[in-house]
Amino acid sequence: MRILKMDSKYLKEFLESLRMFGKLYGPIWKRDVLTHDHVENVDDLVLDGEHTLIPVKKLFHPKRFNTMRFNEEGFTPNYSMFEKRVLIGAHPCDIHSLLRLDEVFLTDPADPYYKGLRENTAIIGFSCLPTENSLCRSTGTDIVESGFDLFFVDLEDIYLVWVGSSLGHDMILEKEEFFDENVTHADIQKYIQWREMRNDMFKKSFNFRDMPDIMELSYNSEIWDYFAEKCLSCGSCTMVCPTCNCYTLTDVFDVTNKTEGRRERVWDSCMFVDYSLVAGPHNFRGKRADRLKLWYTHKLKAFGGEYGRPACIGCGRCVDTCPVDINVLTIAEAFTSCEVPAK
Amino acid sequence: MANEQQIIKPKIGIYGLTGCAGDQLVIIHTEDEILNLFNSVDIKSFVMASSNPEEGELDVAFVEGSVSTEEELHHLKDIRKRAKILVAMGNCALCGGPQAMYTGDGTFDTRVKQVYGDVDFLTKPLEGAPVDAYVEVDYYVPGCPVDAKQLFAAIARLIHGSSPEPYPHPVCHECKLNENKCLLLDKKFCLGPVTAGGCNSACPNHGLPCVGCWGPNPDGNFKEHFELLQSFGMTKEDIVRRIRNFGGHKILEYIKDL
Repeated sequence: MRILKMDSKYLKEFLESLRMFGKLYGPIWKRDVLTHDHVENVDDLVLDGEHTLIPVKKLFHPKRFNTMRFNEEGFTPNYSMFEKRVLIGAHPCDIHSLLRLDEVFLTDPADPYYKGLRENTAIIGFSCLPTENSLCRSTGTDIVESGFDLFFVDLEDIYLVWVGSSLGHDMILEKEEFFDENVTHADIQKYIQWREMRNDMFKKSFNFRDMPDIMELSYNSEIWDYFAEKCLSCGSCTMVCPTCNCYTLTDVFDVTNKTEGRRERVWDSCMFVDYSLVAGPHNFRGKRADRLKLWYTHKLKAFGGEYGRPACIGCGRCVDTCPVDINVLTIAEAFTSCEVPAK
Repeated sequence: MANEQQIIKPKIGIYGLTGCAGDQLVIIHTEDEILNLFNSVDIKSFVMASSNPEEGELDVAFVEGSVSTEEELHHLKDIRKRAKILVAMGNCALCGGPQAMYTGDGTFDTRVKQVYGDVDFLTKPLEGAPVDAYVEVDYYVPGCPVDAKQLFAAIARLIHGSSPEPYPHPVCHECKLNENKCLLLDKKFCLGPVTAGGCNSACPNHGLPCVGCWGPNPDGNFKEHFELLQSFGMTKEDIVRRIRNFGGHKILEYIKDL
């Protein structure tokens, strides 16, 4: 992969130049909450590594939208959200989350909405430093090798820039004068020191690689009941998880006509009581303990069985968000210390 | 056949018992849909819109408000007899509303006397109660007031012979979709997790904690939520008092063992 060097003073002008490739999106502050949204002014971009409350999935798997209009003749899909976009400031964990979501949404038959949004969006990744609850070193998602068009590593006075696609190459070509092929020994040393400094900054970790087995062994554990008594079933963990992707579909009929309407798609959560409710009515996971067990065994084990590796990408948002401290850390700790015999 | 179906429009009645009439107002105020509704149904009775009601057989009756007088009780029973489907609409009809916040505290007669003294009422007052305390309810549309989108989605289903989609999720669902930081993390007294959602997290969107005005979320973990709020320094009595403001009759069964 081609790696270039850019003086930090060119950053703003370079990011501004990306507008010719699409509408700019990235993390900006809105009502005191960091959110991925349209960027009017590149000075508003927050590229220091802080996490958005809702992860980047929302730009590819919209929270709530109309998928189609239908009538007796058939249906017309709603692809009005497709536009050329350039997403700036994706962290390594964000990029990993998208690669994980690709497995779910792009496997044949692909989800046309996700596919359209993904194909029309360039990814400009940025390095970050760990937050209080970052776990990406535990999950092996603290660096990226693919999944971006350009990736910027911030070494203060310079950026090292990984070129990950031909589109990324075209972006560089537009401002070729900003980039230097000559990465020196000193630059490499600086990069290595930055990596070591970053590695030392992680405050928390968990035994991610042991979790598939521990989840399997703990399937009938009474520890699930302990967490179930605490869980508020608010669904926040799933909304803020970058790889949770469940949604529900509802047909909303026109008031004027019983055969016409729209189909609305909204993020759903396996923490909600009707998630596993089917005709009958039968509910496979009416109990809170069963809902929690589904989430954690899927996140830390079963997703891996289907797609090669478990779905947690270590962003730490569940640790930031759960009001009653149920998260990958507390779950990993409880099931490791109480259920699995000590080595 | 198609023509015939269009000619025979479903007969609808929209009624208000004791409440602020806010739910009926939502129907009138939903300019995007109100003409569609008038074109699609035959509104027999809707006193807020027309003072010439025709009280006969109904396909669907929507009832707002709590039953708070004997006269209202007779009215409700009469509506139930005439309606194939009865829908309770809004918190007062579903839970009893704020007028039911003292349900079960001593006797009702004592409380009436405390407030009104010795007076002759035009109709005998009853302790404010939800509609389903007296008659069978087919569907519930919660709210304070109801959400126009949710209500019209329910109306569209009902007048076309289908059943409305329930939304048994807490306020937190839409609160997170609206990208609000959780107020519980700042130790604010928020009732979001134990409150029925559908309001589009109206209060948290403005940094204000949920006061529970849509009534209890039946799936709410009341025990843990009370413990969490107590850990913020609130007394159980205060939590109970506040959750009863809008919890009416219905909240009692969820908090009885706490």
